[in-house]
Amino acid sequence: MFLKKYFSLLWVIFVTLFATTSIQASEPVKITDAWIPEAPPVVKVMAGYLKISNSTANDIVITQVKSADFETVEIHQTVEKDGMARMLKQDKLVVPADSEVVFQRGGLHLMLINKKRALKKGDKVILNFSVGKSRYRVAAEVKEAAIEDHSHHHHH
Amino acid sequence: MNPEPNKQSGAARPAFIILTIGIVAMLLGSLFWLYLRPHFMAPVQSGISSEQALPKEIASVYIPKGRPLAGIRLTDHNNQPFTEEHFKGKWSFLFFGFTHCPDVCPTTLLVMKAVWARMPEADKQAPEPQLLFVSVDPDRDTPQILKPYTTFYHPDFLGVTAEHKFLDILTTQVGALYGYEDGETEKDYTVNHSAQVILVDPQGHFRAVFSPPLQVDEIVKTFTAIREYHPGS
Repeated sequence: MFLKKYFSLLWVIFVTLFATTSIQASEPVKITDAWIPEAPPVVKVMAGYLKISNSTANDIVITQVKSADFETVEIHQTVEKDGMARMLKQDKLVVPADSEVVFQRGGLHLMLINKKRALKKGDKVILNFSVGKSRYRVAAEVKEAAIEDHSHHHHH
Repeated sequence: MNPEPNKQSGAARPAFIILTIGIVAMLLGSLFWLYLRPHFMAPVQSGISSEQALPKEIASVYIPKGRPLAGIRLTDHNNQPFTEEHFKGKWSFLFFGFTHCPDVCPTTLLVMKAVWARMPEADKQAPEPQLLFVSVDPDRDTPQILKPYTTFYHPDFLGVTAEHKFLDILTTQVGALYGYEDGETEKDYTVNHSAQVILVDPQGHFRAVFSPPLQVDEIVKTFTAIREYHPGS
């Protein structure tokens, strides 16, 4: 009786461990840390930031991003050219084999155009990424936007 | 024998004096070389007038001559006129952008919000500086949109805009650029714009430029140094 219980527990642990590793191994492409800075309510265009990692041996191509909460989603790159900040639309985005691409302020970002509902801090927006024939569904959280002041000179 | 020592000291005295003069001359020479020479040589070498050198923390951003801003005819987000008179008596930070801008403009406004949070610490001098968000997209950014947008980032920030001919009067005087680029539809055009932050002094002169990447700590320190250095601030 005791032995049976012991073995079943061992089995559960074993299965759990195996399942976890197999899930990781079966997810060569991961989209993580997706978030949307909270914007003034009058704003119809928002930004999205995230990380895409590709642990496969092949390049992957993001061909489309969609969200039910926005009319259109585009991938843009902020660049400075001729003394001006401009946004370059990327029709597709390549994530090279065994590397990751980070969307962050002042660089690559999702341009979320024409929001369909009010979005405030804590809300979740579902983003659907098309990578070849695969689809990735990612929940991006609307978070309070703040720039960290990294200095330590808070003297009074 | 008395004359002997006298003669000896007589011979030693000129040698001693010559030696002393030599040492003093060398000391003065090196003193001149070390401390005084730069004052004589520097202006000649660099071709600058006798103008005092800028403190190094502001040298890269401060415009010594400044430029008086004139002909400013903007409308603020409360529908009130904003002219060059509104620059007088306080420091002004200007940033050019548009509300349909998801990345650069919110980032810059958040940097300035963090700068504002540090400002009372940095310097309690009155009056407090003002921040102007200058929309270069007047067709879409009406005062009704500009006000909730700008004040979302800080209740004291002021949104301003104007017709293109008046916007251009300001942008050309501070070296800011902007231009439009077509989008998918006629309404979805995007605006390219300078990402610098412009500083106008309390006399209404264009006085400094902060270029990206903008760092909170750097802006606070540089501004504090400018305020200390700038005459009549």
